[in-house]
Amino acid sequence: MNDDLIHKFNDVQEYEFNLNDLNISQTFIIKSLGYSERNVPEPVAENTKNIIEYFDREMNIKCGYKRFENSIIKTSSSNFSVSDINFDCKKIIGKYLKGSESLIFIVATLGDVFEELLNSFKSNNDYLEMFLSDKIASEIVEAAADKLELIIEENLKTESLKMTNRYSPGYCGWNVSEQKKFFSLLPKSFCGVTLSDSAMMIPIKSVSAVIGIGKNVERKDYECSICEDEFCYKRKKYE
Amino acid sequence: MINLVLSYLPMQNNMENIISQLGYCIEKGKVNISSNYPTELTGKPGVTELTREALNLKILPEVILNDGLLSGMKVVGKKFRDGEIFLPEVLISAKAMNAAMEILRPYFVSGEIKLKGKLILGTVEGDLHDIGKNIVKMVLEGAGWEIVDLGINVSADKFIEAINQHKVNVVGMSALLTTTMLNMSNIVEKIKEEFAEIEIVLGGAPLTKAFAESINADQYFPDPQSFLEYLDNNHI
Repeated sequence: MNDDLIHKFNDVQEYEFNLNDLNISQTFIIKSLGYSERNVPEPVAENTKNIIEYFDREMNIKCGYKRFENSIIKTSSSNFSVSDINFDCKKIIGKYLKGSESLIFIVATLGDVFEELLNSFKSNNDYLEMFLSDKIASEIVEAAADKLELIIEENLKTESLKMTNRYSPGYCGWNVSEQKKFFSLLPKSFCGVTLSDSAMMIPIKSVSAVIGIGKNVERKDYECSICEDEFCYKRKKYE
Repeated sequence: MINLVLSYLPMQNNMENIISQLGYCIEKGKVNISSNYPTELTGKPGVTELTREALNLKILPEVILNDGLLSGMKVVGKKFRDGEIFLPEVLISAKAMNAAMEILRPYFVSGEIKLKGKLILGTVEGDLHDIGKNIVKMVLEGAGWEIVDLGINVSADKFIEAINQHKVNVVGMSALLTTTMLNMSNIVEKIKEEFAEIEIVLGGAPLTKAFAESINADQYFPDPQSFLEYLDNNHI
């Protein structure tokens, strides 16, 4: 594993990845755009290749997590609390976190490289390149969060504990404004991520999420069948 | 007389040929002679050269726009609607379209050709994401609509000020996450208080038709092409 463990306390861990550590390929991106290798238009293939190569050279992906133990957490069917800070995560997420013995807050970010590239495309009105770089960056940050989950899973093996899926503020009914409380429980500027006044993460291509762990929790896919968000990217991914 | 007809016919053919080539170059996204794509047109003139040549041949700018450029975009729109192509190809064509529109800009300014209409676009207060809004702007501008782009983090007051200034019938706004969706609700309410007749169109990754209806917005579109078709069919 190429992961570089750069920071370790009892409950907080941070990692750095590069693109080679993640399963992101040109073929994967082209398929996620709806094309096959045969019918992809040349500019799409060429720009996808160039953007991936640029990210591969320049990008330093940071991830980390903090674990909150049983003594300071409470979970119920539609909310949870950590150190008496209550999170109104709503029922889709609440029912899966319920019964967790610990909670883990995760953060993953691509840093400023994406925004720098995007701004250069914007200044040339290169909208195809803007669209593709946004799409590729979104896939990378999700892949980084996936990899972090695998590391956490590995770390939990000695404790014989299971994990839930990861659930993010802003999805499945959990209001993104709760991001402020979420980050208040993490070290300042954790992984280099800060929040705007409207609770959006800066850098833009960042992921934050909660994971429940315990002997009796289960990893289940997103409950898109009862969610009203018709165009949610989770729905596109899991249905 | 015979000589006149004979000399006229090649010219007529040339004009028709240029108009048809323009449409094809738009469809394929061939911006200029240096563009590498598509390979079948390598080294051949693109939209930039053909538009200039058409003007040199005294083809009316309106004919260049409608019969050449926009007919190419119509083909692109139909293919997108039928699922034959995806958004990246629409953007490739829109870039070529915008290159041609830049050459035709003086004729829009002089009033010799008219844009389809004007609308306001903005990303709502609290939201810093503008990729989606910019893509919509590019597609609409490429199709002959004038866009007043208010940028990101746009408050209700800023939308209202712009509506007063530009006298538009349609305002498009986008948002990315649930908090900014909530801001959208307040902004729609304030705009409707001042301008009950104005049509408010929403877009953005987390939005739905049901959400748009719940906050009294008039329309929701999941992609720029469907927004464009709606505008073309209802606001020209």
